[in-house]
This record gives sequence, C-alpha cells and structure tokens, in this order.
Amino acid sequence: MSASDLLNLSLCEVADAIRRKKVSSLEVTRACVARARAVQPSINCFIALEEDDALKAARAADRAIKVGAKLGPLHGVPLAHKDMFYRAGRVTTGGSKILRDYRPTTTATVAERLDAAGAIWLGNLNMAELAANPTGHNEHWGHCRNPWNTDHITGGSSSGSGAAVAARACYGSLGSDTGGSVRLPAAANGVVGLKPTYGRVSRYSVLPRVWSLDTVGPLARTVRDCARITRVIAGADKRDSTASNEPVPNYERLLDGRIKGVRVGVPQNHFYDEISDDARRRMDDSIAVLAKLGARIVRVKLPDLEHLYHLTNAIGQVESATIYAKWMRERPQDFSLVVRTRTEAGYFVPAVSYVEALNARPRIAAEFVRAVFDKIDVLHTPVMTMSVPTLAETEPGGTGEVMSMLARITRNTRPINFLGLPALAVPAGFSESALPVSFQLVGRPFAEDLLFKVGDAYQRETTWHTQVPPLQCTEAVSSRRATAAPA
Amino acid sequence: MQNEITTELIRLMAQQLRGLEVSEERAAQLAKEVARVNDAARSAAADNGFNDEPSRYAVMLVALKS
Repeated sequence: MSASDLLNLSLCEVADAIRRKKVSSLEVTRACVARARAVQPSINCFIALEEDDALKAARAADRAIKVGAKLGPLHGVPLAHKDMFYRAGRVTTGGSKILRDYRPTTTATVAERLDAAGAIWLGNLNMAELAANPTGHNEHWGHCRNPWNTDHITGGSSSGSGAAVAARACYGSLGSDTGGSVRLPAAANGVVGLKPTYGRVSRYSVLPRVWSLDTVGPLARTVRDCARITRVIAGADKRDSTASNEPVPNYERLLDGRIKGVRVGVPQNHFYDEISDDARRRMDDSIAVLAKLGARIVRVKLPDLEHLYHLTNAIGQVESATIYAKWMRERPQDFSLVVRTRTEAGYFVPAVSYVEALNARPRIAAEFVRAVFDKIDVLHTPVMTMSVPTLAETEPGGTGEVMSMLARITRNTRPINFLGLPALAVPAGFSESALPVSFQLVGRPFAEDLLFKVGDAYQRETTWHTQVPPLQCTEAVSSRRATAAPA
Repeated sequence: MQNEITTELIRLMAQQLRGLEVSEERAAQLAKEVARVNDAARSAAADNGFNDEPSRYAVMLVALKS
C-alpha cells in the first residue's frame, strides 16, 4: 500500500489494518510524519511534531502485536492534538506566548485514556491563543491556514486539528469546544467534529478557557472515527467533578445506516439568518439525503437564541477574565488584540449578573429541550452561514471590530454551549469558492449516539468526507519543535 | 430593560476595582458590551425561581436525556 493510500484510510480502517498486520504502526506513523513535514510550510498546523517519540511508540505498538498483547481500539494509530492537553513534564503552549515554556506537572485524563487505548501521540497542533479565537489566527505561532485554500481561515480555536486531519497528517485529533471551537474548524476544513454534552468528557488537566462551557471533543474524517475516539475518552472521572457518571455506550455498534423514522428538525428561525445561497443549497441537499434515507423532516420554530448568545458571553467573559487575571494585570501586551479585547469586558460584568446567567441555565436548557426535542429527535442547522472567509477578512483592525467579528462566526455554535447539548459537525459539500460547507446535528443531552447514527448514515450516502485538499507539499520541518515559533 | 452603562462608570470600575487604565474610546466600547450581557442576565433572572441554583445544571442535563 502506498503512503498516499495509507493516509487516505480512515482512523477505523487504519486501526483495523494495523490489528490485522496488513500494515505496521511504524509504516503508518512514518507516513504521517512525512505528510506532516510536507504540509507544515503551507498550513502551519503543528506547534510541535514529536517524531522520535512517535516512532518509538509505533515500534513498541508493533512489538505488542507480535507478542499477542491485548490491543486497544486505537492501537498504533497516530493522532495529534490541540496544544492544550497536559502531559506531565511536556511543554503545552496553549497557542500562547505566555505559556510558551509551560510544563504542567499533571497529565490530562483524556491523554491517559488515549494512551491506554494504544494511540500514538504524533505531536501538538496549532490553535488559537488560549482557545479564544474562532478564526485560527495566531500571531504568536503563526496563522494556521486552510488546506483547501491557504488564503482562508481554518476556523478555531482547534485550528490545527481541523487542518491536520483534513490534510491527512494524522487520523484524528482532540480539540476543545467552548463556543464552537471543534465544530468551526471541522466545518471549515471539511472534517467531522463532535462537541459532546457538557460533562460527557473529563476536562481534568486540560487548559481552561471557560470552566462552565468547556468541552473536549474529537475531529476526524468520518463519523465512525469520531464515535470511536469519543468512546475512548468519555466517562466519569474522579478528578473532574463536572464529568458525568452517565454510562458511555458503544457508539460504533449502533451505526447501522438505518435512520428511518428519525425526526430531523429544520429550524425556521435564527440559524438561517443571512445565509449565503450556496450554503443554503448544501443544507437543502443534505436534508434531502436524510429524507431519502427515511428520516422525517420537521420544520421547527425555536426559542430565542440571540438571548442565549449574550448569556453565554456573560459566563464566558467573567470566567476567562478570572482565569487570565494575573496575566492581564502583569503582561497584557503578551495577549493578542482579540483575546485581550474579549477578556476585558469580564471585569465589568457584575457578579450578580454572572450568577444570574448561570442560575438561569438549567431552566433555559430544560425549556429549550422540551420545546424542541419533544417534536424532533435531532436538529439540523448550518454550522456557518457564510462561505469560509479569508484570513484578511477576519483580521480585526481594532478593539471595536472584535466582538462583531466573533458574533458573525460563532452565531450558530455558541448558544449550543450555553445549553450544554451535544452537536456534531458533518461535511456537506463545497461552496462556489471550493471551500467546505457543513451542517451540525444537535441533540438532547447525552444523545451523542443518535447524532453519530444520523451522521454516519449520511456519510454512507455521500463522499464529501473522502475528498482530499489540493495542497502543494514541500519537505521542510527538521526539528522536533516544528516550524512554528513564537514571534 | 435597557440600562445605560456609562463610559465614566467603566473607567471608575477599571481604576478603583481592578487598578486598570482604560481609554475613553475603549471604555465606550466596553460599556456597550457590558450593557448587552448585563441586560441579558437581568432579563433571564426575571424568570429564575427562589429555589433555583446553578448546581442544578448537571442534574438537569441527565434529567433531559429522554
């Protein structure tokens, strides 16, 4: 099998091939390393490529197969992750200048679980500074660029995750989603991304952005791949009091392509406001595919989501201002304009208003779920209503432009974080400018299984997820720490 | 329930509560943003009950499963 053929396999396919000894983990990891080096100069998706450690782990994975060891579901598969999941003693930058040499003393539960499942840690990926920008700009480590067109944004904040998975530099990636940070880069790069239910996945030793809204989720090329990673990382964790004790299903076992009778809701308000013509066409096409599979399409009127957007900001601004307070006081110049601007407002929101927003959350979530999910099983919406913008179009010229830019991009994703619901971004084709367009499926709390089932059924009928970005590749990276370096 | 938050208030809070200097122009931007989220929170709170509390959120998510 050629390196290109290997890299075009899905995560589940390559895991299966490794397990059946059709290919070694070492071959696969070498192919990923070569691809990562080749695409890095164009898209800048890595902050650190851990080549030596990854190849060593791959050799160990192959030895384990040879001696008949018990194998985990990700055995020997190279993954790379947003640079925010702590591993004791290893640098985790959070895409920031401030943490460029930060070596945490603890290891994230999700990192331990990936390791226990046999995954290879290929490296740490670029991300928006401190997970706080939905475009993928990063003035400290260099902007991450969209593999479908490098003038365009990757979306963020899990920018490197979306770009690296789309560019075939790894088979899957962990990102985090506080207001759209998994779904936006998944959508902009044409890969699948899950924002799980709040509490479904442990946040222990994950760089914090907004405690009450942060979720950790996978990005990969297929829904099945995301289902596999989610099963590995989800579940109770004694070290994170917000991690839920709800049992974790075997998501993959439920993927049978059958969605006859599933009620798919199409919103009549909010999500389609100011949508571009080609994004609307892709939404209509994807709804038609689901209808052809037997889903019942139901038009639904939703409760006000604009209001939820501002409540999300009330929580997000105050918590992030608290988290960054020391640095905002001592080294404000080391933050980018976007992060500084959106953090500042948190200092002036009264404590009572912040708690009022938190206190309203259970009631509003209940009202929303009952109003919507008593009529439908999943909600289908565009992730973004515009074509993926360019880096230049989304570079704010001053503090006055930041909040409107953020609102434009995260309008359809941020309210879902307030509600805490799971949402799955699925590629649905391309815009007239040949950039990916995606829909998101939103479900009841802990309905990840149903989202995977519907998304997987859609991918069985379509080939968008098999398209490969037309990247020009050049060999370049030579050091363990990849080309990106703080400015 | 639109409440005006003044530039002056933001500047005073910045100085006296946080020890921060904020320009007149930036304070005006912050005043608008804070007014938006503050109004949203106050408006939401109008329907909050006496016995509501934020920690019910995790329990509520489980209760809403199906």
